[in-house]
Amino acid sequence: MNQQAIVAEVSRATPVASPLIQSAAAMVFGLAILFAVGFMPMAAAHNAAHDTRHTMAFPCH
Amino acid sequence: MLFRRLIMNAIGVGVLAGLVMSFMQILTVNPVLLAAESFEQSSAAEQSYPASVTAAKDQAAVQEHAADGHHHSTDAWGPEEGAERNLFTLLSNVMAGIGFAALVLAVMSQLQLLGIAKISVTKGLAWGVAGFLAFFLAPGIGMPPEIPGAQSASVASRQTWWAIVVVCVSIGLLVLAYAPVKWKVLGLVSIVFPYLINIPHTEGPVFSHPDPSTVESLLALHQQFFLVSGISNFAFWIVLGTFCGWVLNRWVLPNPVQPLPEAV
Repeated sequence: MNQQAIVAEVSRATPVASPLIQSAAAMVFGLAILFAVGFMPMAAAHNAAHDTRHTMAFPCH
Repeated sequence: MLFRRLIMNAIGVGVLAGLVMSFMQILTVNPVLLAAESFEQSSAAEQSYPASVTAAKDQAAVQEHAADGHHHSTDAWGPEEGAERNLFTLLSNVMAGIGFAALVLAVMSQLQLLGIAKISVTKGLAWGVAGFLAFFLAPGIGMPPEIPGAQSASVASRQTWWAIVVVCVSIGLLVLAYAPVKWKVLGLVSIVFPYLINIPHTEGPVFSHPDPSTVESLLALHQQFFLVSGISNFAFWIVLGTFCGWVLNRWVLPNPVQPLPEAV
């Protein structure tokens, strides 16, 4: 590994969680929203998102 | 912070894609939905299903369906017809857009950071097509999108298969696009697999209505619905994928140090 690569590596070592963890967290965020829109069985949620569920081919009632 | 940039950009792209989707859906898809619902409500009001038309099992499902919270027909809250219903459709579409954009941006950024993919606007367009295939067409082939009043297997079994097919086809397409050649056959296996397992479907007729001409109208609406919803979803995914590809290099991963030197 040359000097430049080492510098690049060090500059990436920030005190926050790794990019992998942060991307995974963003995926969990996305999945939670999609669950609420497409899958949540609660009647009010179903009624509010009804036309979206049908149109996006989510299984609906 | 990457997480914050992913979420902010997912919100921006999701709002845009959701607005495009809503515009097309309210003009082209919802009229078909409402037409189907008018049949459904009249049939639910009659509540008479001759045994010759529906098997006992289907009849139970029909009555359960008529009783179980389809909107406006029960005590559960539902938006008012007209503007309020369209507003909630718009909100739901925007939320779905944000959710899908968060998934797409998270996977894009990870593949780019690992040096596996180099995302561009054009690549984003291709991701949009892939998203349409994985999230609309792939589940739609097995279980065509339904208009209200269609009979089908239980919601839980269809949701399970939906999740399986979406995950398998997404992974399969990513493997086909980005894995080394020797692994690509596994991508095909992953795409085909969900169709080899048991796809939930109803035993009886799709539409159990005493009047044959009504059944015919419903079948015609059903086909029309697959077409117009497909067009709306295609537009949604093209916008979503293209803009994800654009924001990724502009705002999500703007730091030129981020891709490792050996990956470029």
